[in-house]
Amino acid sequence: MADGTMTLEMIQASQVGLKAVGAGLAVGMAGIGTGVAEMGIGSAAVGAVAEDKDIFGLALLFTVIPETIVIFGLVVALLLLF
Amino acid sequence: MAEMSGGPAPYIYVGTRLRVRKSKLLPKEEYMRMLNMGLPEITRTIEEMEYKREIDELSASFSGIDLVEIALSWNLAKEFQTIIDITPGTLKEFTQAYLRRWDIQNVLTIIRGKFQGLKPGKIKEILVPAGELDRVFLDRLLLEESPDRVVEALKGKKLYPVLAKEYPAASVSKSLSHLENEMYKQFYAKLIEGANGVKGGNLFLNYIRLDIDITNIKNLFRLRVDTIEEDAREMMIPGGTFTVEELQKLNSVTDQNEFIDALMARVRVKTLLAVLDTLRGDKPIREIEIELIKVQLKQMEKMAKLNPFSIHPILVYLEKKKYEVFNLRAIARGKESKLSTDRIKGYLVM
Amino acid sequence: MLKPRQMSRLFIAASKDQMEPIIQELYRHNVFHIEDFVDQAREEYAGFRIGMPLSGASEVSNDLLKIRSLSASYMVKPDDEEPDKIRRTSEIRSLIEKDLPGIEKETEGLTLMRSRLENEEKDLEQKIAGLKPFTDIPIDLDLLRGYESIEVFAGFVARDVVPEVPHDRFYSPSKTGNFIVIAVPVEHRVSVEKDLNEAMFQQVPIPEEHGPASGIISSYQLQIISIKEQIEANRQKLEDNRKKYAGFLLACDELLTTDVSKAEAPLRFATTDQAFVAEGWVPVNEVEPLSRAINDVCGGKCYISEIPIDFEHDSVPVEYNNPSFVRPTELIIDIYARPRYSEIDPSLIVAFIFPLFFGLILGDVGYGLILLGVSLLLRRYFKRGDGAQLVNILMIFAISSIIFGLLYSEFLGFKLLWHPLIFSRHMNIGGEGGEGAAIPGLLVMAIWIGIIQITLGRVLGMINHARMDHGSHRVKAVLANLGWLLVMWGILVALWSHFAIPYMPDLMKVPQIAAGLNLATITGVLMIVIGVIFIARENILDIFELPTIISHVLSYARLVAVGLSSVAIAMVVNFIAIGMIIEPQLAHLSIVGIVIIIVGVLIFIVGHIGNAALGLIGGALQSLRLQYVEFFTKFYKGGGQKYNPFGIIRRFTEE
Repeated sequence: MADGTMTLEMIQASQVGLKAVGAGLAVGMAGIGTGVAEMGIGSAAVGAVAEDKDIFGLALLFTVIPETIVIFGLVVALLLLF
Repeated sequence: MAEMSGGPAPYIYVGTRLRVRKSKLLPKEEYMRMLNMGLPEITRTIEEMEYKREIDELSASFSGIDLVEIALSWNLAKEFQTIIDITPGTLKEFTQAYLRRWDIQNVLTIIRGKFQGLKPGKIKEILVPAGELDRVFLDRLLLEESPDRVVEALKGKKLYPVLAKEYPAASVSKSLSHLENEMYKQFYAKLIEGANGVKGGNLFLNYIRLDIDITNIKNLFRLRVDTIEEDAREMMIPGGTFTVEELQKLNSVTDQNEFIDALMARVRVKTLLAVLDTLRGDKPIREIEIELIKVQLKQMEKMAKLNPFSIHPILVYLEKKKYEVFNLRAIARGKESKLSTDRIKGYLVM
Repeated sequence: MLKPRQMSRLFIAASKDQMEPIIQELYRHNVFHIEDFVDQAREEYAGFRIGMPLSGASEVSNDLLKIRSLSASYMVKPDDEEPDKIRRTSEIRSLIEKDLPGIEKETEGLTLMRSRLENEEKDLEQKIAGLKPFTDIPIDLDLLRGYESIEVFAGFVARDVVPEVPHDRFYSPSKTGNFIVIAVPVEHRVSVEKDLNEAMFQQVPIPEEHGPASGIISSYQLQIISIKEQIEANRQKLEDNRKKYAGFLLACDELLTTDVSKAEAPLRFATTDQAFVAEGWVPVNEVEPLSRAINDVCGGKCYISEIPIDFEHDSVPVEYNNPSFVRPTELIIDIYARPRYSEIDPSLIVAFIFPLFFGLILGDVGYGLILLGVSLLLRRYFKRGDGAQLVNILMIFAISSIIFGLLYSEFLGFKLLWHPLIFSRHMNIGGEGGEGAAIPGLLVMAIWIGIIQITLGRVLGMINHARMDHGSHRVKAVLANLGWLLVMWGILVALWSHFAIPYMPDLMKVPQIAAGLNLATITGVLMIVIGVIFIARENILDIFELPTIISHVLSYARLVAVGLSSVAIAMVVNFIAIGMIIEPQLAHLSIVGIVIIIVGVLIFIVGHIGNAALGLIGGALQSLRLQYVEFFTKFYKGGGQKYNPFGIIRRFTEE
C-alpha cells in the first residue's frame, strides 16, 4: 500500500482508520469473551433462580462478574482513540 | 459431556437446578419433629411443603394413610416427570432409562396384587407412575381381569420379552421372585448397553456399577440371614465390580469376619470400606441395608461434586427424593400402625 | 436507621403444666422469635428432647386439610383477598362443626360434575374430529362397514388412486388433505393396499355410527352446546359459591393455622418429663412487657432471663428498622440478602441512590408520566405484600424520571421549552442540527458518581469490619479497605497530574520535582503503593483483583450509555413518525394522506410505549446492578436470618 503515490494526508487518514478498527476489535472481541464466560454462569444462575427466587440478587451478581473483561476492552479502545 | 445441541448451557442449567432442589429436601430435624406428631399433623406438615398440590387435590376424596400414600406417589411421579422434561440430550435418555426401574416395580406390584386378588383401587395406592408406563396406562393394566391379561397388555413394551419368557413358570408357582430377578438383570443389562459408547456414558456407567455393587452386597447380606439355601447366582446382577462367580464364592463363606474381609479385599470405594468394617457385629439386616444405602448416597454425592454438570447430580437428586418419600411413607405407616418412635426411626434413611 | 432493630436473647423455663398458658401469651404478643431446639446439638441440653404437640393438634390438622383442599378447589388464596368482614373465632368454631361437611359435599359434587362434563365434551369433540373427513362422502356410515366379502379403505392420500380392479370409490380433494374411500372385494385387498401405499395412504378408522356423517356431526354439535351450557352453569355455581365461602374459608384457615402453630410450638422447645425450655429472640424494648405478661399468666412459676448474645455462634434474627418510605427498598435488599445483625443496613442509602440512578438513565417527563400512570393503575391490583412494594418502587421511579426529565429538558425525546439545566442528551438525529449531546460532560459526571459511591462503600466497609471482626484480622481488614481507597484515589491523582479532564481537578500546574514528575504524580504513586501493601497484607491474592478498581468505576458509564440509547430510540421514533411520515403528508393533505398519518401516529404510540418498557427494564436492572455489584461488594455481606416472631397478624378473625 505504501507506494510512492500515497500522500502524507492519506497515511494519516489510514492511521486514524486503523486505530478505529483496532478500537472496534478491542470492544467486540472482549464482548465475545464476556459472552462466552457469562453463558455458563448465566445458565447456572437461571437454573438456581428457577428453584429458589430468593437468590436472585446473588445470581445476578455472579452472572455479571465477567463484564470486567469487556470494560477492559473499552478502556483499550478509548486509549486507542484519544 | 454428551453431544451438545445448545452448548454446555443446558447441562449447567439442569445441574444447578437439581442441586438447589436437592438442598430443599427435608433435613433430619424435620423428620425428628414429625416423629412426635400424629398422622393428620404429618399430613398437614407436608401439605405446607412441596406436597401441597397433591394433598389439596386428593384430600377431597381420600383421608388418613391412603391420602398420604397416594399424594407421595403422585408427587414423586410428577417430580420425576418434570426432571425428564428439563434434562437435555443424552441426559434425558439416561434419566428415562434409569426411571424404567419403576416400570418393573409397578408391573410386579400389579401382577402380585392380581395373584392375591386385591381390588384395583388398593393396588393403585402403591403404584408410582414415574417410569415410561404412565398413569393412564397403569390404570388400564389395573382393570385387566387376570395377571395373564396384564402380561398380554404389555406386549410391545420394553419389559415384555422377559415377561413373556419367565411369566408362565411364575404363574404356575405363584412366586414372582425369579421373574423379578430376571427383570432387574435385564434392566441393568439395558442400562449398561445404553450407556456404552455414548458421550457422557462413562459417568453413567460409574453410577450403574456402584448401584449394582451395592445391590449385590445387600443381597449377599440378605442371603446370609435367610435360612433357606438359595443359589446366589440366581440373585446376583452381572456388570459390577464382582463377577457372578465371585459373588457365589463370597456367599459360601460362612464366617462373618472372613466374609467381610473377603469383600473388603475387592472393594475400592473408601466410604464403603469404612462402613463394611463396622458391619462385623451382629446387626439386624434392616440396619445393614440402611447403612449401605447411606454409603451409596454419600458416594453418589461425591461423584456429583466431581462432575457437577453430568448425569450425577440428577441421579443424586432422584435417589434422595426417592428416599425422602420413602421416609415419609415409613413415618406415616409407622404412625398408622402405632409403632414406637424408635422403631420408626430405625426404618429411616437420614 | 442503618442498624437493624436491637434484639435480646430470652430464655424461658417452666414446668410443663405452664406450657400452654405461656404459649398462648407468646403467641398473643407476636414478638418472640423461637430458636428451634435441635436434638443433641448442644451439651448443656443433654437429656432434653423435642417436645410433644399439645392435645388437639391432630383434629385441628384434619379440619385444616379439609379447609385448604376447599380453598384450593375454589382457588382462594389469603394474599389475594381482602376480608369481607372480620369474623369472631367462637362463631367460626361452631360453623366449622355445623357447615363444613355440607360445603365439602357440595363442592365435591360440583367439581366431580365439572370433570364429568369436560370429559363428555372432549369425547364428543373427538368423535366429531373422526367424522369430519366423511362429511363429503354421500352415503351413510353404516354402509361402509360390516361386510365379509368387501374391504373398505378410508383415509388421506397424496393423490387420487384408481385401482384396476372392480371397486367403489369416493374422492374429495381439499387443501387440508385428499380424502378417499375405496371399497373392493376382499380378494383384491393386497393389490389395492399397495396402490394406496404408493400414494402415501394414511388410514382413518370408520366411525361406529349410523346415517350420514354431516347429520351425526350436527347432532353432536347440539349436544356440545348443551354440555357447554351445563359447564357454564356449573362454573357460575362454583363462582357464586366462591363468593359465598371465600371469606369463611380464609377465616377458618387463619383460625386453625393459629391453633395448630400454638399446638405444635412444643416441637420447637426442649423438654424433659417435668419441664420445658424455650429460647428465642425479642426486640429489646419488648422484653419488659413480654416478661411481665408471662410472669402474670403463670403466677411467677417460671424462670425468664436475658442471656448475653454470643456473636460468634448465635445467628441473631434481623428486623429492619427504617422510616416507612424505605420499606419498598427493603424488598430490594432482601432480594440480595438480608443484612446480618451487626452489619450496616444499607436500605436507607439505597432508597436514595437507586431512584436517583434510575432518573439519570430514564430522565424523561413523558416516560415518567407513562410510568406514573401505569403504577397508579397497578396499585388497584396489588394491595398487599411484595407486589404492592414493587408498585411503590415503580412510582418512585416515575417521579424521579419526571424530575430528571425536567433537568434534561426531555419529553418523549423532544426538547422542552427551556435549555437543559444539566448536560444535554439531545442528539443530532434527523439532521436538525442543534447542540448535540454533551457526552464528555455526561461521562465525567457518571464517573464522579461512581467514585463517590465506591468511596462511600469502602468507608462503610471499614466501619463494618471494625464492628464485626476481632483481633489482628480486624486491623488488617480495615486497612485493606483503606488500601483500596488509596489505590483508587492514587490513580485519580496521578491521572489528574498528567491529563486535563473536564469537570475534574487539573493538577498539571503543581510544582515539578523531577523531570516529568510533579508533586501530585508522586503523591498519587505513593498512595497506590501504600494501598497495595495494605491490600496485600490482608490477602495476597487480592492483588489480582486490582483491575476491578478501574472496571468498577468505569462501569458507572452505563448510567450515560443506557440513558443515551433510550433517548436515541425516542428521537428516532419521533423522526420516523413525524419527520418522515406525518409532516410530508400534512403539507399536501389527501385522503390517502390521512390514512398514512394515522399509521404515523400508531408508529409514534407503539414506539414510545415500547421504548418506555425497555427504558424501565434497562434503567431498573442497570441501576440495581450498580448497587449489587459495584456498591455492595465493597462492604455488604448479608445472610442474616429473617426475624419471624411466633404469632400472627390477624386479618380475617378476632377473639
